Amino acid sequence: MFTAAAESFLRQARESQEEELRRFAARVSALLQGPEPGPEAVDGLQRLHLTVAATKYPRKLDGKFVELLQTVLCSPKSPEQIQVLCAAILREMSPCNDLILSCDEIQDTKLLSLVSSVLLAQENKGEVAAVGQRVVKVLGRRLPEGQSARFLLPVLANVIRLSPESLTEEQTSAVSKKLADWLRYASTQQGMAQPSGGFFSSPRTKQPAPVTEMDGAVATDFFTVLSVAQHYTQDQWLNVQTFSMLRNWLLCYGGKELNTLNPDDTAGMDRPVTSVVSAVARAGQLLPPRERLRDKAFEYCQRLIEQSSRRPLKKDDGDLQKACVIEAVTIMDIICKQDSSYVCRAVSFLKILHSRICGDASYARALLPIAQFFLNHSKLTAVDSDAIYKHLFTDIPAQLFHNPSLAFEFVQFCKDNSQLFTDSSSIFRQSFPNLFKFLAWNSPPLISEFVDLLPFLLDPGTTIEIFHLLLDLPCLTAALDIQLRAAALPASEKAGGDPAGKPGTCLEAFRHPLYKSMFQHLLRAKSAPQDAPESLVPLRLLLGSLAGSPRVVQCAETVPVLLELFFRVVAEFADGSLINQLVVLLLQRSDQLYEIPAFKEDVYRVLGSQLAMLCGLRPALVVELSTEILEFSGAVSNIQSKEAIFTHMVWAVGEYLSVSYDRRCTVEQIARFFESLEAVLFEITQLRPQASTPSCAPRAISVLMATLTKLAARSQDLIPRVSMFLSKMRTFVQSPAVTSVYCEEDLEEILIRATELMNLLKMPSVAQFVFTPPVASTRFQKEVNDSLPLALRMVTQLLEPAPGSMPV
Amino acid sequence: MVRAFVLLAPGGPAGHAPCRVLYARTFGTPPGTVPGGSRQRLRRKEQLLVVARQVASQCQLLQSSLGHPSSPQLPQLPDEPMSLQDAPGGLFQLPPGDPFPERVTVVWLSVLALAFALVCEPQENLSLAEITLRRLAPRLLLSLRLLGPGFLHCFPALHSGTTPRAHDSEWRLHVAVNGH
Repeated sequence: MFTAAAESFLRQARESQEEELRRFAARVSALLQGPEPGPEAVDGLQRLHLTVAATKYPRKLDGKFVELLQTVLCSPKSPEQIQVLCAAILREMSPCNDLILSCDEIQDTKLLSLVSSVLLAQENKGEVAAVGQRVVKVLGRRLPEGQSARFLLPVLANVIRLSPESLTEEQTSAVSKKLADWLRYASTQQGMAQPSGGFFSSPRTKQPAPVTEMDGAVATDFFTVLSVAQHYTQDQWLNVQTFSMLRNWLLCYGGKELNTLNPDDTAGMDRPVTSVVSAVARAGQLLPPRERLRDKAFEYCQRLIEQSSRRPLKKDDGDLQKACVIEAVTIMDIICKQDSSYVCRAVSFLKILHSRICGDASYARALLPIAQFFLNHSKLTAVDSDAIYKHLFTDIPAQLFHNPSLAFEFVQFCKDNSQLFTDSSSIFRQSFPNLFKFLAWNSPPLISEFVDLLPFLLDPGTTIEIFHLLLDLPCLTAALDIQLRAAALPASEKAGGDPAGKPGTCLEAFRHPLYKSMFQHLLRAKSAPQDAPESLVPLRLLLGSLAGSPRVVQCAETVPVLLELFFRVVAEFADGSLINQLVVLLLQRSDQLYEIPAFKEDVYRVLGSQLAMLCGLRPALVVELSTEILEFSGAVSNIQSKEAIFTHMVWAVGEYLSVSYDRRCTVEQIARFFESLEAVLFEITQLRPQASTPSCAPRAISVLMATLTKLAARSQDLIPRVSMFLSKMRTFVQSPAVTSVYCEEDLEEILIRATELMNLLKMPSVAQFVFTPPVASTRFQKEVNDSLPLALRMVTQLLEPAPGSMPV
Repeated sequence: MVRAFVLLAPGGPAGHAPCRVLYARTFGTPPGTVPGGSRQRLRRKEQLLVVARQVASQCQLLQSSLGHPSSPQLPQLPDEPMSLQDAPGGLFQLPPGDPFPERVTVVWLSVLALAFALVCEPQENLSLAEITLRRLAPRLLLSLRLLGPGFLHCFPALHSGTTPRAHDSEWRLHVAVNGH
């Protein structure tokens, strides 16, 4: 297999020894210094490159050899292939200390490009600046015959990316002038093929043909990257390269001049010359270089957008058109930011573009920069761009959620404009159900983006709806799957099955009246807080058949992370009533989850610990929601199916059901909880468990015992009952039916705990102290198994153990 | 702008073949970072390895969500350039600090048992980057050949990224994304 072979080659390269390497380098050195380095030298250099590149640790090559590489690189006699390989090896070793390379004397543009690539890899500002200076100098001169500037523009683009301050203002002006010329005045005739030579071939060739558009029509306007020719002239290459670096150039040097080498030359930079300058442009006079480049760039972008309306002859060219539209709109946006006089022209132009492409799914990604433009500039022109945003947020996610690139860029757009979501009435905020469709379908690449985005979507108004949405996210994935498959059905099958009977498959259910409204709710595009989500129970059951699908499983794995984040954010702003609502819903929804076992377990784990957190935030809820909590904690079935939630709930009862947290906590209430929990504990610790008795996690038993003890410490007439119960735990632990179910360590732990609790109850006032600490310190008692046993053991050790009460 | 190009073998699911960087090219690293010669090189290599591992993991997740087997077993690279319109690929972001100081977006494409990735700066035109990968990959595949009992033999095309055919709109695309 390909990669197995590659793997072994890489290992060979990595494991070759220093000595072997040195000998090999010496051999290559000899070849390079020979009269005509040929294929053997090429092969040797390639192997050397691989050896150096194969390991991340440095490979020492002899200093003389490195020097030789540099000499060979710069020598005009060296064949191009060898020069390229020498540069590659030097780059791979970078940063090097032994570099003697300099670009100062190099005339040949191709070589300059190669040498620059090595120098730019040195991670040294001085080198970058030197390269920048040299390239600008060469560009500024008239190049000798056979030399082309097109090898230099990519170098320049790299220089300004790495270190924009490498160029002086004078230099950027000079280059801007050239860039503007290349953008606007490239030849509109096709280039000539290289003459094939030969003594008999006639040097006279046909007249050069004109450049064409992508649909084959002859071009009537200036050359752009979307123009087509058989061969390209040098200035046409430069045209394309200029466009490719235009965005960065404008970002670096198009605005207020802060990026160049003349920091003291800022006088006058803040002059509002923009409107004056544009008037001058319209008058046709010569503009300063920066403004002129802006002008030509704007024209170029307009032309590109017009060219994109043509139907390309080659299907692949369509993609290029769309990518160029995106680039053009982005550049127009930048230009308008730098000179607001362009905004009027741009707005009308882009509105026309938008109406042309808004119905075309293949142009969906271009809608994002258009929307961004209007977000940035529509205030200036009082243009109503709401229709654009509405279409973008309502229609696009619903139709194109399955396009992973669009999904990614859409979510980036939301993140970049997160301030839009703060206004609860805006279309952006209202459309959050649509946004989650992107995540539901494309979970792995988007989960980290949603972790960043979710906090902006949460506020008191959306909390409950988003809670339901998160718990139902895998259902959403399944429903989207069905929606796609239903849309792909031929029209004849779309009519749906018999409405009176029950649907046989999920696909039939999609249009069945029983399920239709549930699907519609799940797949809604806008926030709908009023709709009751318990109506989704039958739908979840129906979708159970898709629970194993890989996409659904991947989505399910993202939910615990988002849930934890959800609670963390909500805890910061939730008031008492919202917290109460959440707790009630949490207990309710624990019964209504999509049936994926691993998913349910993870969700229970998160919900359990977050439940404890919520109770800690608002202890009074234990009293206020006593009915719901009693119902939940009194059901023995909950111990087995939702152990994490049950355990934390019971712990919270023990912790917070007390007069010190809420004056409304009466003795009757404590007694009620006590009886309910006692009954549960009784049932799960029967000496002769019946078939129906659930086997429970030992932690549940421990926490029940601890909670009962805490309640008894507060209502002391309950103490005898608890003490008697706890003393029976020894018998429970030793009963043969029980020892077969639980492991020895767990049983021992239970017994120790029971004994400690019993001891504590013998000193009721101490027990009260231990179990009802002042409110401030409750934050430390979050973990059930954590601080309470420690406190208990400490107290037990401090006091004299009563004789006969400790286990032997 | 494109920071780096990575050609990797994603390997198999966890426990099987590890992910390997077969070839990588960075287009200059921003200076002003911690100076130190070989440590800088080590850091660069490790950053690229992180990218490769993330690509491998995203690739495996996408393959499994599409229901494809996890490691396509193909004995030989095809002889003609293949169309990569339907090859699986995607986009994801790496947050600042992990592994590059600033956030980057990675565009990747999976072909046979290999993957190609472009590490782009945040403001890059991602449509153009994707198109470039899909046009570039077939040409690179043509250049990758195993040469007998020697090393992996990479033609210079792989080093300089140039294929001097002037009438290619695809080549113009490659230029337009502006690597070297």
